[in-house]
Amino acid sequence: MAIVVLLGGVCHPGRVEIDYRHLADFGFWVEAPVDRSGSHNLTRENLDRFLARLDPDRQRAGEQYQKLYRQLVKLFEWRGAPCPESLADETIDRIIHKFNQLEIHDVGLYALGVARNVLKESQREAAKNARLDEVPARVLLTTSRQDAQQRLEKVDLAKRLECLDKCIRTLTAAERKLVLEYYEEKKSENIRQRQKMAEQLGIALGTLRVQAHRIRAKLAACVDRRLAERE
Amino acid sequence: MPKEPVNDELMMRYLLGGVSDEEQVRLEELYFVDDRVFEEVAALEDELIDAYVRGELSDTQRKQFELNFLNSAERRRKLAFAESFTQYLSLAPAATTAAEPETWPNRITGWLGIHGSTARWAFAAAGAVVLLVGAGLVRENWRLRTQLRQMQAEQTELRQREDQLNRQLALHNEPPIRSAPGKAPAEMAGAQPQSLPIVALALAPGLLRGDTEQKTLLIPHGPHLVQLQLALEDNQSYGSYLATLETAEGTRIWSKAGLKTTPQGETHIVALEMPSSLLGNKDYILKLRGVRSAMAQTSQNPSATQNLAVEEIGVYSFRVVKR
Repeated sequence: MAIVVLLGGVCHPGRVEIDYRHLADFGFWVEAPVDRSGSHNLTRENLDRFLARLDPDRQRAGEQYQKLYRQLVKLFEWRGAPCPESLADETIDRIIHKFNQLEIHDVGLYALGVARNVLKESQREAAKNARLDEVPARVLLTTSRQDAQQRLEKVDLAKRLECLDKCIRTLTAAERKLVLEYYEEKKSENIRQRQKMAEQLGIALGTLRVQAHRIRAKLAACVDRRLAERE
Repeated sequence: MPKEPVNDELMMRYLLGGVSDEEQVRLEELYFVDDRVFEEVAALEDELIDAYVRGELSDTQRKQFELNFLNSAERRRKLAFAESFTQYLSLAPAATTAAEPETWPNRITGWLGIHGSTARWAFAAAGAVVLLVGAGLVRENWRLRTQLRQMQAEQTELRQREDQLNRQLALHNEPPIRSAPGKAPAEMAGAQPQSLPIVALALAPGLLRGDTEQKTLLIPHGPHLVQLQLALEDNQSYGSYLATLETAEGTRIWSKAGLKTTPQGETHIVALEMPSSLLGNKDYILKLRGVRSAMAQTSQNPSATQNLAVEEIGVYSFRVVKR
């Protein structure tokens, strides 16, 4: 019988996400449930004021908010933070809280500054908990890890390929052609091939790259949805 | 803020955690202000993950990737998607075309404002002629592209075989032979030493019991290239193979998709390589899966569609001892 151990590195109260690589040597199966219940420091009034500041039109303000949130999540991800969503939540909370007190000219650059502070604080916190033998552990009993993990891996790739095949067929013909051709070639051949694709489509190479990325993101989201529906 | 040039090299180093503080500040300010820069960094992240899955990163980049990149659930999810996407691309050239929905003729004529059965039949006839000519051109294009892919695949296989022979020769301290275009390896002379020394181990499938039977890979001090030769139990042929390497505790540390077999005597093997820095003094399990594409027809879609099947075909265990 395997033992599940939940160790420190709590992303936010109620959430746990653990770097599995460091714990694997102990032979434990690391479980990482993530609670995405959202921020708890936000009032309706503060949020409305913030959205109005982003854009007078409510619809566009919502889009700006989502774009800012996505930029923050990616910033934390690209900086190697293990809990990007909760750090982005924390950053937005602080920005909204400060909106009443400060005159902020550029929300994006202000958000970047707040995000850097949030990141530094989380890195200091993580450094304090760096030694595993100092972190309190909570132990749960579960069924055999070997059998469950083997079953998961055995079906995982087959299921993914099947879902991917179905998702690709939901794309338009133009999207399908673009995304398959763009990502098809190996590194040694792809620069020329992509330049040729961009010329044929009459767009810049950077634009082609972004279009391919967006279609790929659509495919990835479709695969995740189909996999979740199967479970 | 003035628009400053941002190149792939800078963005790649940023994603791998290899930029100076000043470069980091500059790039982050740029992508928080310019949506296009943000999207390009996000797009390059996909390409970086693909390069890792395909084994196209340099040693330094791969180490940086494994150390810095896989530390969130979202990135591990992206890696899983990239592995399956790469596998899909290696198997499904016919995926670029797909059966059209059955109601498209009515949709098109309706959209063009063509009503009445006579007009529709006339349009359909004209459309059929155009389609026939177009289909002929598309088929010819597809045939030529398929031929080109086959030739490229054969060329890759020949190069792999050549590299394998050179490595075997290197193990026996004989100079390797490099081929030039148009000439077989045996016709050429001249030796070029490998950049890293190689340690090789041949493995048969099956988890062994007892330490005395465990196959052991001895790695001398210093960086080496580890070559594992996996014997296949039977002659089932798959489009490609996927190998994953785990510790005995089950932690996955390496995987490679798109592998092909190489004939060795009367059997076939799958050969794979990895840097010795990936391995420690412990036991490992290597799992080999075959990926097969199968044609399937349904009553709703009489045209054949392509499905993919993944089957586990062998589990190989070995011990690493580093001096």
